[in-house]
Amino acid sequence: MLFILLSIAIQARANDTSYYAVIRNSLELAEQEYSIITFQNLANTCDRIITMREKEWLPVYYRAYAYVNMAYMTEDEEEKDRLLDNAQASADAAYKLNPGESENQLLFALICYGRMEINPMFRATIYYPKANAALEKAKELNVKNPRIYYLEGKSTTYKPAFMGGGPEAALPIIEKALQYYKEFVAPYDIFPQWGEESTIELYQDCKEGIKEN
Amino acid sequence: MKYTLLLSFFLTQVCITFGQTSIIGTIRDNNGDPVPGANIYFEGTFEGCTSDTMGKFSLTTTIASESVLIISFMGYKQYRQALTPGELPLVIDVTMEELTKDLGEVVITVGTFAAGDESKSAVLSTLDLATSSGSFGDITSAISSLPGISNPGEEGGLMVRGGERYETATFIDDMLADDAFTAKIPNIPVRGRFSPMLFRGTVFSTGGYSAEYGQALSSVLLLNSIAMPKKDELSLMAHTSGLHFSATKKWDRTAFSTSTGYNNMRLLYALVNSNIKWQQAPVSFSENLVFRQKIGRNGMLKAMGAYGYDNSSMYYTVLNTGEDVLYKMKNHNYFLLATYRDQIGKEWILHSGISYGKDDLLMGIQDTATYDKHKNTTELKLSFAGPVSKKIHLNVGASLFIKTLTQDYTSLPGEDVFTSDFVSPIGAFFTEAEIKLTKRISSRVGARYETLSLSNEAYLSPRLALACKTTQYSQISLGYGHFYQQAQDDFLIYNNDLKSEKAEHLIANFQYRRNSRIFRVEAYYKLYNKLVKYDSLYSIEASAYNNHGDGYARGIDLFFRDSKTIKNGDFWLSYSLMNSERDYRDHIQAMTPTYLSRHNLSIAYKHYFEVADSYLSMGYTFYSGRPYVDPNISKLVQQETEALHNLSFSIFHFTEIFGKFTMLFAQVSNVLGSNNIYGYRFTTTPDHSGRYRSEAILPVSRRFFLVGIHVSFTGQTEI
Repeated sequence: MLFILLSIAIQARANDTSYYAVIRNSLELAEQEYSIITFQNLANTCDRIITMREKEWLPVYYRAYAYVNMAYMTEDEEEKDRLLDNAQASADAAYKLNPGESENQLLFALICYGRMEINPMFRATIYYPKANAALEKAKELNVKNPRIYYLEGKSTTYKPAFMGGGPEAALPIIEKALQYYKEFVAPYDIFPQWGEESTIELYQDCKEGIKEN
Repeated sequence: MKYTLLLSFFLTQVCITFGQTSIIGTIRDNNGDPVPGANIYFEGTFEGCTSDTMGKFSLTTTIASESVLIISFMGYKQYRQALTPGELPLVIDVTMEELTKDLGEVVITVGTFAAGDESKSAVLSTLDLATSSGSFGDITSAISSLPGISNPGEEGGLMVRGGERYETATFIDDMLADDAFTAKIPNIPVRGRFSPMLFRGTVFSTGGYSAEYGQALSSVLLLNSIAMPKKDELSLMAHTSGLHFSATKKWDRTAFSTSTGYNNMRLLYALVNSNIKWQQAPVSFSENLVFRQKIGRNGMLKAMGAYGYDNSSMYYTVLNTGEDVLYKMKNHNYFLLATYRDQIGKEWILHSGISYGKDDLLMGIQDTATYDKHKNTTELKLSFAGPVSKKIHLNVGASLFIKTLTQDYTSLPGEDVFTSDFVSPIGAFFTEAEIKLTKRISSRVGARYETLSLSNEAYLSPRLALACKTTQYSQISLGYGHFYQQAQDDFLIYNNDLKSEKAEHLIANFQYRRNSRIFRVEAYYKLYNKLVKYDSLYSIEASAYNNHGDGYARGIDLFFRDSKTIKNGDFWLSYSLMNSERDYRDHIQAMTPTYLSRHNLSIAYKHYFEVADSYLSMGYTFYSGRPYVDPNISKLVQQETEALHNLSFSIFHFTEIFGKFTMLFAQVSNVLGSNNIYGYRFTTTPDHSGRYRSEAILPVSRRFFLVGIHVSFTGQTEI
């Protein structure tokens, strides 16, 4: 009996991979060209899947991820906030579908960084602690998720030294990220895997920053 | 499984080769401009594509039977067309219909300046309140750089749109704080009692405020205390005039904070010349205890206890005799406050509060009069807020505010004590609805009913506000209301029958806000009625006081802020044109109040230097001459002082000392050393040559400065 149930479960899962190819395509396009259009395309792809597969986490996750990236590429503040509102709605939905997934927390952190950038004078006090809390929560869920340390390392690099930031303080965190990227095995090929190249770049920048001092 | 996947991949490839159709086209909007980013797909499929920057798309599909082609994009009406993809490529050019643009939420902004970091409509940040140049940590002096506020150096506090200081009421967590400012002695400005660091989200209204707030003729300052601190904190601040210690301990659902302050102006006045002859330079002590407890799912209990002590004495020249008399002030102030907030059902909020205040003030003029005042205030309040429909949000509530005051007055040592007192309960009911009339228009309709048994009065004050979004970035608002305030304690104590004073506000506002730039302009007209008049200031006869005064104030306020153009820089400008005349107090006719300048300009610039880890704040204020009456010229025609200037600097440097987050700061006012004269006092009788002798009213000192250090033992202080 158990065996039958299990195999049905596996089958159900296997069926749900039907949309992977479409996401894979859109992700590849977005990787080739970092632009609003390619990410809008990713969001559109997710929208199409969401209307047919309401309960699936991945398309909701990628929809949020697409809107965060569009927001990062947008200059106008009101537009940026609007895109982040969109990202937030999907990130909240993704969290509801799969609350134990640490990647959702990273979405929350990314949204906070985006909000903060709009007007640091007003918003840093609100969103910086929120982003940190999200990273901490992510560690609780999956301490070996390399993207946590990439984001933490990045924010530490640009934080002033008197607040415990700077390249020197960031370097061990970035090294940790690099190591976890090496160890990281994606459960399936289109599981979130962003950040490795940027971490390597950040690592180089940090090393140069330390030399300059 | 691998095999199946491979197979299905193979099959798809085959299909594409044999049954593939392309649909190409261009998507434009009503104006003929391309729509990039649109989602183009057949209903019920994953496959689809996105229009490019030219609005062009190319969709390949394997579908052969009739299907619905959908084109969708946010802000446009979805396009649907049934078609059968044939063998030949289809060309489809589509014009998408733009939906009425969502202009965003309409927020009623008339008369309101929001400060804080949570609200998107905030004009000021918490940091602004703490670091405004020349603010010396006083929450009110930072706010006083907003337009519409007179800032007479000898008064302090917030004097809004021609109103006196007492016309602004301060509310902490929506409960009236009757003594939010230190006691007043001649020529010394009052200071706010509460530290800006206790609050998040401050709203300052320069008129037309909500029916929830009463007992304020001109303005309300709404301070919301921090709900739950984010982490433990321990910090120490020391500067040239005092010492401050604060600590916060946070548990899972509970938090406790204490903050202790000691100020002594002696050192400062030893270093700078004071225009005041001090016997005892001001010494003050303050203690704040704050307790927070989360209750249940959404409940929050906030309790606060504040104690303040002030002591100073100075020599004051009586012009008629030329003698210096010793003027002493000693003040103990206590304020206890507890509020509880919880959610009822899904959407309604209950807000309840209780407060108790006690103020003991001893004022004495050596060898002559002493006033010994004891005041108690108690307030109970309960309100409910929530939606009654999708478009109507209601706020209803009631409060009871009881004040008792006893004053012992002795005219000369050894003389009889003259005791006066009163007990005054004020009952209030308010109801207010925020109604979204259309997507662009929102209104607030409210009324407040107050009943005062002491003066045997009951009145109903209507409050109205209307806001209309004109574009995504701009809106216009209108405000109107009646505002009542009980006669001041100092008059009411001699004549318990005095009626409440009344003001009517009419305000029009335009605001444009985009990309961290804010521009707003507001015009107002304010009509005063039933203002208290008296024969002479110190009269103890009830008959000397009446409600026959009146007056008006009108003007235009401009505010511009830009924290975008210069990276790490923040610029703001506020200007107000004020015009007011009042026939009140001991005026013999309608005259401009002496604290009012016609032109008021304040320019501030702040810059954060990343390399130096420093924050520089500069401010310049200009006030045109202030009116005064020179009895040598005319008792009826007002003269004007020279214009007043003040250029001030503040610098904050962040560093690490012994691994602790440290802030070093220095503030200096009146860098240019302008000789500012606030007005003149005259003898009440002419001397033998027939002249009234005069003395200039000067700042406490020409220049102030403050140098200090703030060390946080627990990491960065959250400002």
